[in-house]
Amino acid sequence: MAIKTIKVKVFRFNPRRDSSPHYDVFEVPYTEGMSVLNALVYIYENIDPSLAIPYSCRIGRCGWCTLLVNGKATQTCTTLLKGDVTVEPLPLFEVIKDLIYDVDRPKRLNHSIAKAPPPQ
Amino acid sequence: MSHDTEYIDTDILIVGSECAGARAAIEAREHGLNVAVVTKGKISKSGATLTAAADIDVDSRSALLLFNQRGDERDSPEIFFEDVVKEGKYLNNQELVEIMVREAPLRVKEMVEWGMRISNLIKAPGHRYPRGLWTSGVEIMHVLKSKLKKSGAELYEYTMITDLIREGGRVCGAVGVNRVDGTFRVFRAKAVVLATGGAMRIWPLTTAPEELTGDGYAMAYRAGAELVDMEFPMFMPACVLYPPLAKGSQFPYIMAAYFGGWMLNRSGERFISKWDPERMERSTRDIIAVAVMTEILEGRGSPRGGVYVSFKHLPENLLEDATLWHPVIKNWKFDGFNIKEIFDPTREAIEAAPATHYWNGGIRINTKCETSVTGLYAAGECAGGFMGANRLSGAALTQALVTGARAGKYASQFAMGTSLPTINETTIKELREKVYKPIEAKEGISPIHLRKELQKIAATYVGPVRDETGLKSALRELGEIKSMLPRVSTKCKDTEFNMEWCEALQLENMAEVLEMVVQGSLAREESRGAMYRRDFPNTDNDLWLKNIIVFQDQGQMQIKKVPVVITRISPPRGVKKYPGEG
Repeated sequence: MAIKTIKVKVFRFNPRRDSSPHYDVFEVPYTEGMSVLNALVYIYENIDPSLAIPYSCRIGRCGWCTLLVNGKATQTCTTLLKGDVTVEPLPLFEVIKDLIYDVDRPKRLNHSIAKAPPPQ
Repeated sequence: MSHDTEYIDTDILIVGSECAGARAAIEAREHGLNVAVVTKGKISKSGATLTAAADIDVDSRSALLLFNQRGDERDSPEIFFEDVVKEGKYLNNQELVEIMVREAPLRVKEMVEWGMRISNLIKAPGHRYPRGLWTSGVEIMHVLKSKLKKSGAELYEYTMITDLIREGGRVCGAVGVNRVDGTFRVFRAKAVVLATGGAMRIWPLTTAPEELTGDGYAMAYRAGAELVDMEFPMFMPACVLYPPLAKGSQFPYIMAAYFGGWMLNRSGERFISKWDPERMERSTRDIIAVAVMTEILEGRGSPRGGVYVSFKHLPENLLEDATLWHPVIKNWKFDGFNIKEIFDPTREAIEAAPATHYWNGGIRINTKCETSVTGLYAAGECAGGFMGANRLSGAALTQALVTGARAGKYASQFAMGTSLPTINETTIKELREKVYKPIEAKEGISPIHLRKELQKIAATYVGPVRDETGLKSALRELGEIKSMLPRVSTKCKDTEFNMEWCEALQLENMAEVLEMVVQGSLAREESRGAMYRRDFPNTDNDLWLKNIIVFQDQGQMQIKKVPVVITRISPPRGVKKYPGEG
């Protein structure tokens, strides 16, 4: 029986070495009930150990694993994987490496966003 | 290859930035000292505190009088003390427990003054009165982080401390690596506080976050400190096995404990009746974990290696109504999960198994949080002696706040009376070479592979139920892992945020701590609290009211037994079938 796989497109960037970001696409074996984070950790453990992923608690509390999944900000540990996905860091912050971004360093270009009033 | 080295001088170095570490830092800053706080992850985005749901214990009378909750005025710090010691199966250091129950209201009160909100008061199993002030780990860290930042402590995030520096009988700092760019960091300090939490990640099924790999225990051990009660990792009795998204979630156990869920083996029997017929699923966590593991090991479990946790006997509207009022399951939300998306507890049982949750033992300290090494302090889960053989719900955060403040205070007093020590450059060079070895080695064994092998040993032989044959197999297989450690080599050679490198640096710590657990378990020839020895199924109060101490001597792991520190409660005598007096 053929194993069902899904395609995970991942943002890659090492600001100390790369001039610009790129995307890698990985094929990950699919299990029902797996999270987006499960797929990312699978990539790190079995395909490419150089992938840097932010995560800690895996139960939706710490919020460190919040990433853009198909363009929408969500905690990857509590988000079910339902098909091919694109995973990227939140766009407003400087990237430390790959998916790890620095919430204490908003991107300089986004001054207007950083200064916007907090949502009501 | 050359890597930059950064030297940082400070009065107090605190390793770990969450509840205990942050609290220690705030205290030390109030003493006017320079403080450096180092964390392997990011403050309030990593570590165990955030994962707490969370209840913080104070005696029920204080809950009523100081925090305006529906507490019970019949309770007192003395009765709270009795419950902690009784449910710790009398192995607790009573001197330490006295301090914890006495200072708890004060520590929680100041947290409330600093902005922590309390929403409720709960009564958890093993407590005679409702003592769990309900808040959340996120809330606690929000308060402590803001206080810490204002305090003027220097924060070093994404920095993994790899070893303590010990010179002339005292600790004088620590070394580590900045994970962002791979810079080597040397911290020179008058005193060091370890607040790195437990070592639950040695097991594959755990409720703990990624960082909890026992770094503090192993570093303290290598620096000559003593550790206590290491044979008692605490297991959350029934955590999710499937689906992968929710693996390790405490949902099944918590719901069973608070709403009368049933734990069933594959024949549909409520097996807990064999262990605690009176309290059943509302027994304490140590006993239920042993009961669950026994069913699994004896072939009465579920296909995925667990037992079944069922709520089907409860009326559907009772469960629905529970989600309206109880803080743990408000609106079907448990932790960050929307439970209704994952399970239908009104219809099907959840497959669940014991998962490591907390570390009852830890670095041996006295009432000043001093370890057996001059200048080295321990706080929070890192510090042992408070919980004995089993911890009650809600006591972890209380202990973290109390020891955090005390470690900060006494480390400050020590630092004020001493000068910054000089450090031998040869020591630094050796520790530095050890750090870069896994990324400089051209080829070798994958740290990811070796970590998985280590986790397999823990899962196979070192669950809540153990025996000599299994423990000896664990030692033998652990020996093989240890012999491979010098050959660990990462595939990824980046110095920038290399997770594989971090794993390589954690491996020695995980292996050493697992060995402490195994040696302690072999030495303790009885069953008590969180550890059940199949080959010694009795709780033996005549021979085993002793704490097992682990330490290093001449490069070898040593064990000694010491009598329990008793102040107010005399333990029972005699030999009883586990769970003994409960």
